[in-house]
Amino acid sequence: MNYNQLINHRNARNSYSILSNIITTEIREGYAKCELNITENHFNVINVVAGGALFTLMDSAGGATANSYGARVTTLSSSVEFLNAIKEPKKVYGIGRTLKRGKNIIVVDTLVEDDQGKCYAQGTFTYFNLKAPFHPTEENNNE
Amino acid sequence: MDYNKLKDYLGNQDHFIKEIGIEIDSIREGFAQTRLIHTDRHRNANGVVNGGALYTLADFTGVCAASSYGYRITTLNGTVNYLKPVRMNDKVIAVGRTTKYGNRIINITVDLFNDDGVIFMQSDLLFYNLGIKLELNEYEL
Repeated sequence: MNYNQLINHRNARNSYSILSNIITTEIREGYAKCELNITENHFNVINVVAGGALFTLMDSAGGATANSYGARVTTLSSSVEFLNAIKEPKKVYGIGRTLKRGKNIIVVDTLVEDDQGKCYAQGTFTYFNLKAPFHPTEENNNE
Repeated sequence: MDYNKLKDYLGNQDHFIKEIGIEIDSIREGFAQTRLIHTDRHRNANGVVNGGALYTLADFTGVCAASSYGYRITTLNGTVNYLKPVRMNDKVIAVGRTTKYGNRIINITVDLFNDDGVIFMQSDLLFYNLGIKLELNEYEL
């Protein structure tokens, strides 16, 4: 598995991640890290970062972690806890670690933390393995 | 509670909702209906609408329903089941209903479906009442 190709593929192909200002920075087997650069567009009506933005960061990290085994996946379910509010623009990280890799189902633990290691949200995501391989090089060449 | 004013307030003051393209159809006590106006920007690597966009729609719909009691609230947690992928030509409507309104905790269920009632996603969300009254009279459009 060429993880750099997978990272490039994810960053180029996921329009919603681009819209959300999220990039995948690291993938290895059963692990992934994404970054969210928070801007004023991520804030909600009570002037904290919207839960949807943090959810998307965790889903991105979880999806990248599930992708690390070489197949496309889709999200089946998730359960997220919002632990601390983010009140100012900063960079935060979504980190995913596999809890269980089954034949069809992959369960990933995710969290959102900053440079100081403060945790803002935690989520458990369940993915279904679509058994369809990536062809990052071929697809990137077609762009 | 002036629900039209609440609708204007939530729809116009939330930067993230405007960025994502969510519109509020209606709010009344313990109830809200919204919709996602999705474009190619909402597409994920599998070519369907990203799950994060759908969660954002569910969460905001829950915020609208939980705010209908007149207090500022914040999301504590959310549990989501994705039942069917949303294709790029599907319309997406979200309906949120209160299942329990407590002193501090509000439970809301939010379903996402299309015009034909086909369900895309089901979710349960918990909100915390911050105990601060929404002062909509101070809000100017």
